[in-house]
Amino acid sequence: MTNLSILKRHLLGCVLTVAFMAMLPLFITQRYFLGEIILFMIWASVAIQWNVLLGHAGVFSLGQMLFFAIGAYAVGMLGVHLDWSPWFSMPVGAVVAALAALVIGLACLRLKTAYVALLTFAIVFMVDSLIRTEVECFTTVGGRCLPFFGGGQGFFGFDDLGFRSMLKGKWIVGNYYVVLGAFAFSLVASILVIHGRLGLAFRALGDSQIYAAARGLNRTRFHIIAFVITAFFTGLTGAVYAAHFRFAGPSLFEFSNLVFILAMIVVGGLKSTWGPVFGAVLMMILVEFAKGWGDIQNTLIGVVLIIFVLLLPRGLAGATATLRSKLMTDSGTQDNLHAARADPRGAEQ
Amino acid sequence: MSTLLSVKGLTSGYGNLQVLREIDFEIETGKIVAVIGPNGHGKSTLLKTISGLLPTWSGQCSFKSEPLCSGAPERARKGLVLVPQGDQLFMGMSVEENLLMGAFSRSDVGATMETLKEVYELFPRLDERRTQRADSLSGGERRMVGIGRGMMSNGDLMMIDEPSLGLAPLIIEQIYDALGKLAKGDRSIIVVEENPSRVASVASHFYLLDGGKFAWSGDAKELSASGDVLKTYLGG
Amino acid sequence: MPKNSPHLVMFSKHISGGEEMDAILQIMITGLTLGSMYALASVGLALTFGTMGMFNMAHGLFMTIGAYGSYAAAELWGFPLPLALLVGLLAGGIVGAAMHIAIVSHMLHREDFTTTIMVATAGVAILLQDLILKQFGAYPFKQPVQVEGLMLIGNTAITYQSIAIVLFAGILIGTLGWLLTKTRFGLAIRATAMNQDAAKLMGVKTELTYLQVLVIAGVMAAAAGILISSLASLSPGMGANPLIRAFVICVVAGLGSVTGAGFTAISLGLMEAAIGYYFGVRYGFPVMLGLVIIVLIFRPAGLFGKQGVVRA
Repeated sequence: MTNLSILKRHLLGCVLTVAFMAMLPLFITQRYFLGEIILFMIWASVAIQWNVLLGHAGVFSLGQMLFFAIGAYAVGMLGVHLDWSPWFSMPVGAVVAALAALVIGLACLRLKTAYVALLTFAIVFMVDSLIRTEVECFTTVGGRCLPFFGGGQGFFGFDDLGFRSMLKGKWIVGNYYVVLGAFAFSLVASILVIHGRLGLAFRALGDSQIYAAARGLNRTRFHIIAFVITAFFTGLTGAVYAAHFRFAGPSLFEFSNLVFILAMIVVGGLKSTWGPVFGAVLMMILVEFAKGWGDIQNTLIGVVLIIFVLLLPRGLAGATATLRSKLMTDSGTQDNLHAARADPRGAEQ
Repeated sequence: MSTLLSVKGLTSGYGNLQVLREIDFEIETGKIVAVIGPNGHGKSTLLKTISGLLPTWSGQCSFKSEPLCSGAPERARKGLVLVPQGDQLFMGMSVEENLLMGAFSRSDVGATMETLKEVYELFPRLDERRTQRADSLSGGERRMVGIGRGMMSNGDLMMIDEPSLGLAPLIIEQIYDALGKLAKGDRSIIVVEENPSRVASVASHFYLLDGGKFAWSGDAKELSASGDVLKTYLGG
Repeated sequence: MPKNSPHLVMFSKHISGGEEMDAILQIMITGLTLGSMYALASVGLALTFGTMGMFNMAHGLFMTIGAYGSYAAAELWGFPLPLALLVGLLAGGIVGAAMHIAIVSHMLHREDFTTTIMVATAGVAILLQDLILKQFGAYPFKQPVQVEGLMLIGNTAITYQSIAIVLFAGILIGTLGWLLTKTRFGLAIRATAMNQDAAKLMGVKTELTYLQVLVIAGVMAAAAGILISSLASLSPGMGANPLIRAFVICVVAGLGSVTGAGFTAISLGLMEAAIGYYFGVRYGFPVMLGLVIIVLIFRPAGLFGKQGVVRA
C-alpha cells in the first residue's frame, strides 16, 4: 500500500466522520445532548492535536491548555474590552496561540523530553497565577472591577456568535456547526501532518535520531514546527470554546482538564491517528455515566488513566491492532504481523 | 576435584532473538577456563545469562551443587561474580567506593579490608588513585578497577568478559599478569576472549563458542595441536 | 494558587520600615525559609529521577498527604505535635511505597518508561487529590503542627516557626546526605543510579532500591508539605505550587542531581524572596522561571547536570 492511498483512506474517514457529525442535529434535538456533543468535539480536537505532538512528534508538552486558553482569552478579551465579534477574534486567538508556541518552542524545545514537560508545565502555572493574582482594575463591567486579563473570574457575557438572535431557540445548532467546523479543521490538519511529509520526518526522528540528523533532519526545527501547528489548532478550538460558552477564565488551566484530555489520548491510543477521537467519545460517555454515581469524575479519570497505562499502554487502538495481528498470525501470514509492528500507520483504527 | 558450576542445555537471547543454543559445560573448583570465539557468537551472552542479567530461556545451571535461583543480585550474593565487558564502573564514585561496592554483599568487615589491601597490592596504580573519580581514569585503570571490584566480592567463580578489549598491548600484559596471580588462589575463573593467544598461558581448558554452540573444546595441549581448526573459526 | 503561597503570608506579616539592613535581613529570613522548604520538596524528586529516570507527577500529592496526615493526627485524633509530625512523614512514605508496588514496579522495564510513568503518575495525582477533596473538603484548614511565637532582631520579626522550618529541613536533608554518602544503603542507591546492571552484579537488589527511593521521596515530600502548610494552609491543591518550584529547581540543577537540587533550592528561595520584596510577590516566580529558561539556553543540562547523567 502506498503512502498516498493511506492518506486518502484517512481523509475519506475524515469526510465520513464529519458528515456523520453534521447529520446528528437532524435527529438529536435536545439542547443538553447537542451541548454534550459540542463539548466532545472541543475536547476531541484538543486531544487530536496533543496526540500529534505527544504521540507522533515526540514533544512531551504539558502546555496544551495554555494555547487553548490563549484562543479563549483572545475571544474573551477582545469581546469585553473592544466589543469584537467572536467571528473576528477567533482567528486572532489561533494566530496568537501559534505565536506564543513559537516563542516557547524556541526557548524550550532544544531540551530533552523530561525538561520540556516540566518547563511547559511551569509556564502554564506561571501564566495561571499571574492572571489570578492581578488585582488592578482595567475597566468596570456592570459594577464589577475587571482586571486586564480578567483576574480570578475571567471574562463572560461577551457577544456570542450571533445565532441567538438569528435562530432564536435553536441557537445551539448554529454553534454546533461552528464547533464542528473547527473540529473538522483540526482533524484534517492532524491527518495531513501525521501521514504527510512532516509525519515522515517525525518517524525518521523517532526511529533513529542520529541517522535522521545525518540526513539533515533537525529535530528541534521539526519539533517547533509541530508545536506551532498544533498550538494554532488548539488555540482555534479554545476560541470556539469561548465563543460557544461565552466564557474564558483561569479555570481552564486546572490540572484536571489536562489529565482528562490526557486520559482521552491514552485510552484511545497514543501514537494512533483516530485513537484520541474514540478515546474522547469513551471518556465523555464514562464521565456522563459517572454523573449518576455522584461527584467522582476525577477519581474515575485517575483510575482509568492508571489502568490503561498499566494494562493497555497502547490504548484501544493498540489493543485492536494486537488482536488483529494475532488473528493474522493464526491464519499463517507471519509477514503481516511484522508489517503491523514496524509500521504504526498499519496498526491503528 | 568438585564441580563448581554445571550448565546443562542452556538457551538464551535478547527479546525474540535466540543467541545461545543448548550449551553444556562444567567448571571445577580452582580451574581457569577460557571461552573463545569470534565476535557476535554469544560469548558475552553466555556470561550474562549465567550471571542472571539475561533471563534463562531453558536449561539448568547449578552452582556449588545447588540450582541457581533467578536474578542477578541473588546469584552475586551466592559468589558468582561477573566482571562485565566495558567495565561498567560507577562513574560518579571514587576508585575506592567502586571497590567497596564490589564487597557489597559481604558482611565481614575485617576480611573485606584484607581483600582491599590485596587489590591494591595487585594494582598499585589503584592505590595511588583511590580518591579519584572513576570517570577520570584511563582505559587500563578502569579495567583494573573492574577486575579489582570483582575480586572484592571474594566469590567462588569469577567470570571476566574480554579483559584485553580496547587496551594497548603493554597494558594487556599487565592485566594478564594480574590474572595469572589471581589464578593462584582457589577460585575458579572463566575468561572470555576473542583470541586464544592471550589466555593460552593461564587457562587449563578451552571452549570455542560459534553460532551459540560449543564447536570445539580441549585442554592447552589440544589447543596448540589444533591450530588449523581454530584458524578456520578465528581467521588467525 | 495565591491563597496557598507561603511567601504571601510571610510578607504580609513582616513587611516593615524601609531600612536597608532590615530589608536584607527580611529577605535572608524569607529566602532561607522558602529555600529550605523548596529543598525538601525537590530532593526527593531529584533522587527519584536520578535513580530510576522517573518523573513523578504525584510528588506534589505526597506533600499534600503529609500535611493532611499531620493535620488529621493532631486535630482529629488528638496526637501530640511530634507524634503528629511523625504520622505525616509516615503517610508520605507509605504512599510512596504503595505507588511503587502498585504501579511503578510493573512499568520499570518498559522502553518508554520516562514518558509513560509521567502519564501514570499524573493519574495518581488527580486520583489522590480528588480523594483528599472528598475526605476533607475544599475548605482550607490551618495546620496545627507548628511552633508559635516570634523574636525581634532590630525591626525585623523572626517567627519561631521560620527557625523551626530551617532547622527541621536542615536536619532531614543532612540525614539524607549522610545516608547517601556514608552508608551501605546510600552506596546501593547511588550505584543503582549510576549503573543499574553493574549494581545488580554487585548483589544490590535494585527493585528494592527503587522502593526505598520512593519511600524516601515520599517522606521528604511529606515533610515539605507539613512545613509549607504550617505557613499557608491545608487544601487539596496545596501541592501544586511547591511542586512547580521543585520542577524548576530540578531543571536548573540538572535532573537527577540531588546535591545540586539542594543548593539551587536555597539560592532560588533567596532570589524569589528578593524579587518578591522589591517588585511584588506575584513576580517572584515568573522572574525566577524567566531566569531559569535563560540558564537553560546556555546550559541545556542544568547547572550541576552533566549531559551523560541526564536520562531522557
